Amino acid sequence: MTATTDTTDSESEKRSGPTFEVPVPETDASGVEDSVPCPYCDRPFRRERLRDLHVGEVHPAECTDEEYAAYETALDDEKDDLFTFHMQIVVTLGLLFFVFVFSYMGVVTLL
Amino acid sequence: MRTRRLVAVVLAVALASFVDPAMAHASGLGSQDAGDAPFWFVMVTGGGVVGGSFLFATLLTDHEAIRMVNAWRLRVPVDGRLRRAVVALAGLASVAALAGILYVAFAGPANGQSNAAVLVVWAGWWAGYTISVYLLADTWPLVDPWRRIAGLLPRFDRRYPERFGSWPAVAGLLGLVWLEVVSPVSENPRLLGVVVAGYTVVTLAGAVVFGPDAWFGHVDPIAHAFRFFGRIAPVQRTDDGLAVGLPASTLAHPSEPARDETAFIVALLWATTYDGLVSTGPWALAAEFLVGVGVPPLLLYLGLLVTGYALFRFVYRVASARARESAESLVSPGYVARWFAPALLPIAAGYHVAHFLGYFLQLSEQLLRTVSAPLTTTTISLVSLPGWFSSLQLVFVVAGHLFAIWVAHALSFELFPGRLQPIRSQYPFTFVMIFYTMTSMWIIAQPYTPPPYV
Ligand SMILES: [Zn+2]
Repeated sequence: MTATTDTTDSESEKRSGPTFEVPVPETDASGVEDSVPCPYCDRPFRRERLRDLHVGEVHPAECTDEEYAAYETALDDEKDDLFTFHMQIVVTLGLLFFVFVFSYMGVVTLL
Repeated sequence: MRTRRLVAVVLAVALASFVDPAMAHASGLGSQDAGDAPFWFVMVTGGGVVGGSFLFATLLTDHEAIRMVNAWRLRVPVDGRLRRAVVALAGLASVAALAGILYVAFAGPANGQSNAAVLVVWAGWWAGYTISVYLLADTWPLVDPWRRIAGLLPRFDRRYPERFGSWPAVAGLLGLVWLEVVSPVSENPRLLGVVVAGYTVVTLAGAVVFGPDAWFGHVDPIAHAFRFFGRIAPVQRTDDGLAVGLPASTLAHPSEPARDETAFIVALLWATTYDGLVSTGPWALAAEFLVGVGVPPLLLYLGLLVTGYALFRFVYRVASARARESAESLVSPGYVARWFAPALLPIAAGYHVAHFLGYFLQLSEQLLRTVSAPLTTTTISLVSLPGWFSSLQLVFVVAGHLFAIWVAHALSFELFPGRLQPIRSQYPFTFVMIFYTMTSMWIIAQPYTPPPYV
């Protein structure tokens, strides 16, 4: 059910995007004054970084080299945050596991 | 940098793969031997598995890989002549089956347990066939007898009032569930015959007036339910045959969500929960109390149906609005709700299989016996299920939620940019899901208590 249309051309070889039409979501920016719109589909974002990420992900073929560079920078910035986040997740998963194992042992022996 | 990440991922995979089987093992043990672990602990473990699986999913942030997994398809072309032959045969068989059900309902044994029509409709069709729709393929358009008959009738093609959307299907589904709970339609063959005949008349009249496409596309609750359940199925129809993908992967494909789909999906989810909830002991106590203070029973059951549906919609809407905030997004809350609604379908299916697989298996022998001798009274024979089956039911409930987490995870990457924003969008949904898992496990584990007063 995936409409596979290869959009890769020689100019944007390294820029791969979705191979299908991504719907433009309905947005509601009321009460948000400093929203940042996407220059290609007008979708507003709360922060520039999110807009940059969106442009590189959804419009890799149309966007300018500067915009693509901004996307790569945003991606790099996010990588550091993501690493910290993943470390927290791993620790939480570990804790969750031990909490369940110990309470299981506790529950079985006590009751 | 790269090695740091690699180490983190390897560590995470090792831990998480250890966590899940261990949890499943714990929950299996817990309910198998009463006295081993109390049920509340099994319930909390179920919630923990769902929460833990969400945490594990957050480690999978390679958008390309997520897309590849969900887009994987094995295409099986089907010869046009074979296809037409199957369509024609299935049509004849389904219309014959409908006629047979109607005949046996009125002319067969008056006792529901030995009436083939009752067993075919409830055990064969609503339990067994529905399971095949979401576990295998949506074959309903092929065997929908009403649609087949409607295709042969004249049509006036009156314009269907678009402003009603799919609300008639929502009302129809909730109405059917209510009827099933409050009336003896699941035991009384004559009443079942009347309901099936009435449904046939209304459906065919509607298809004649508005045209089959409008009627089956907006109004017919049965066609709707199977269309949505069928979207979970690994086998999907294509223009030239069949495509086999991973279960629920079709739900993860981003497509413009229809406005009124959410209302029906939430109704489907609530209908399965309602069906279970009214046959629990605590509900019986509450109903006895409320009827005691003067609430008419039929109204009580209708009230629970409508209130529960409103509550489900409210909770889902709040979670969607919260998701927009936790993701720091400007996508409208309504759009967020519509976008993630398909992820609710595996939960409904998981609950349905937990609720109905045992019922289907227990009655399977009786189903065969009555169908082979539809006009004679037979004694009831139930297939007895092994003791571990009740644990398996809990596993089905949790499994439905795990598929939902995966689908929502994939959909979030299509809606929100980057990798942290999609992950953060799922906090409110996961929070609700953990509680829903535990509630469903509780309902499934309650001993069957006949709903009082109906
Ligand atoms: Zn855009």
